[in-house]
Amino acid sequence: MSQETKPKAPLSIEGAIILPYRYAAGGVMSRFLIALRDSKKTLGIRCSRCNMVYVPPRETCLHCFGRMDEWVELEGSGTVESYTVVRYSLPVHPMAAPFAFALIKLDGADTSLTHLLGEIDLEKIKVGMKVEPVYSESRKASILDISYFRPAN
Amino acid sequence: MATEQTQDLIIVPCGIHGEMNMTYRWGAGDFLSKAFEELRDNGKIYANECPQCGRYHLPPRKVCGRCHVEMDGFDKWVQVGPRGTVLVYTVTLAPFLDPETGKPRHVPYCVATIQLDGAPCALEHFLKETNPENLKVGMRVEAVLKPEAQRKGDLGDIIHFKTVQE
Amino acid sequence: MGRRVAIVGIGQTLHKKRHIDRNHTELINEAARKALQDAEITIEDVDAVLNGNMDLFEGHNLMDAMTVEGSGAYMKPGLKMNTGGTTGGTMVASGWYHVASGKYDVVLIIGSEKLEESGGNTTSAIITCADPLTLRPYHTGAVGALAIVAASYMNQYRCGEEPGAIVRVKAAGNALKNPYSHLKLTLTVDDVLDSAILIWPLRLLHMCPQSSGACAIVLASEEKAKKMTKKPVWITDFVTSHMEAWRATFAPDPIPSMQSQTDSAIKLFKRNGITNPMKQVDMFEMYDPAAWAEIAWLEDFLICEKGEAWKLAEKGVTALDGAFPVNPSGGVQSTNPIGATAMIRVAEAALQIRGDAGGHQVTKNVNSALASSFGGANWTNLFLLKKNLD
Ligand SMILES: [Zn+2]
Ligand SMILES: [Zn+2]
Repeated sequence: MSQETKPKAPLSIEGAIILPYRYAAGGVMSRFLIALRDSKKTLGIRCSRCNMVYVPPRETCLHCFGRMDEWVELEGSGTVESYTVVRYSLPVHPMAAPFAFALIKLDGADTSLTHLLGEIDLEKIKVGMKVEPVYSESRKASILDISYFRPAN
Repeated sequence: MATEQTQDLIIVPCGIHGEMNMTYRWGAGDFLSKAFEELRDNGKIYANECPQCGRYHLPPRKVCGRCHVEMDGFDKWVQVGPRGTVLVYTVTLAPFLDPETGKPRHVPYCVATIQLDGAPCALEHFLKETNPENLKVGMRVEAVLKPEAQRKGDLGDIIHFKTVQE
Repeated sequence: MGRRVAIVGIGQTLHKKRHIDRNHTELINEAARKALQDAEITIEDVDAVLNGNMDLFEGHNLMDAMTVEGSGAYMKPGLKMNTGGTTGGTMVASGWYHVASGKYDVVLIIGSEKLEESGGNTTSAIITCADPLTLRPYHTGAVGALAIVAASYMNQYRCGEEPGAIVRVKAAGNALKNPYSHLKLTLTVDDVLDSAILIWPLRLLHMCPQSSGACAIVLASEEKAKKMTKKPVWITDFVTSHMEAWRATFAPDPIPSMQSQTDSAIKLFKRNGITNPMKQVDMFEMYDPAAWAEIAWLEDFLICEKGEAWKLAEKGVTALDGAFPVNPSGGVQSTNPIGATAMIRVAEAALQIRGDAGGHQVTKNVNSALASSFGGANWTNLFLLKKNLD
């Protein structure tokens, strides 16, 4: 059996893994992002078999594995289905804390979009409240070309 | 970093500055801590022997990977080096990104498997010599250590192995 | 031994440097659809879906969660696997476990990689698999490990640089006949010998490319397979064998020898009565990430005597029309979407047995084939596939 091997202090190595990556959005998602950037339009895609509209759009229907190609244009407004308030800040967060994430079901869509709420009293958010998008001035073909959703009048 | 667009296709950089940056802290454990403490404080390189199969491990390990038995403690460790013999070597000319920094490594560099004097075991480390014409299997080399004050307790405390004539 | 398991469907995407028109989910979807189509079934007939993909090779983690609609895994059981270069082989093995156990009858396995996403920094990602204290600073990824294979082999047998180039030219020629292969190069021995050195003595043209692509296979139980297809390919047996990650630290080992390859061959051949693999098996789709690996590893797999493998390609033994074809697909040397690479070996061996390989179908009749995988975590899967049940 082993004799005692005692270091003066346990050694630990500090390091990092730093690597660059790029992600290809693909044809379907690119069309959605470009419409958002160039004309502030929100596009969805419909599965004709399941009669479901997906936002953001995707190529394959989750439920029936069918290919989808029927594009629909939405108003952009929607309803808060659920939300949470973030109380601490991290560099990866899109806003400084406190801020709210919400699941928003856009009018005409059958899926919820995860996004941010703004211009809102965090204590007064309610499930079922109507919201509308506020677009960023410098749009980059990103989901954050919608800066956040705010209460609709 | 800007989003790229090729015709009507979007390609997005990942992470905040277009790169993933994840820090970590890796615990070395008793045996490696002791081995690197000896290198840092006393300039000594140690190996240990499996009590069952007799293989030597460099740096010392706590468990033999083949026998799955616990290895002997520090009082049975064997000092090896600083001289040794090159078993095989490669010279890197392509500047890979070092994943620890996200920056290219400086080339050329020579990595060799070196059998250190004192026990039948080998260490992977840099050779000072990087010209393939001056390198050969079987050549004798010696560890060049950093000055004591600059040693940190890792294999970088050995800067490289230099060629020696015997 | 479990129930008998057959390969009943095979699908691949074109493998290439970039698939910028499709995201990872869509790429996987293409391979999955093709495999289902080949098996003449729909996703409803599939009981479980398994994914294989490497961590840190794309800028997203948990790809199986992100790609569910593409893989067809919605509301089905599944796993994601990453065992380095062996990932595709581990998935075939895992698919086999799922079916052989009796738990599932039809399993879809999908291996994929979009190496374009890491912008050519595959080696950097591989380096992170090494111990940060003792190996990472010197680690040069697969290129470094394969440079050691090349240096050791040339040093041991004094065969010069030419054999590696001849093997690479053979692989390139085969890849030209394979519609799915990534590199389609018309090469000469001089082209290879004149190509730039990456890590001495390994040259650019010795080394596999970094590809984007996907491969999918449908596995089925004996009962289902016999109903589904006239051309099932049987997974007769396979062995998985692990080495220590710290191989370089043990001087008494002969350094070029990959013990996991030899160990898997000894076990597989013994269990299946194989004493002369070149005579008793018809061909080999080997995991050959560099030209010199094909040479050194044919010996490690006990296919031929030590010091003999470097002569085989020159004699034409391992060619498409040779006595023992090796990598008629063009191999990893021509195509390497890492999470799919090892699965492609099994898929290509199965296509050869079915007689469906097309332009790169070997001349001889193929009733049995070996397929191997090797990788990062220093382990081997070795498969024996057959046209007929024993
Ligand atoms: Zn549908
Ligand atoms: Zn032992």
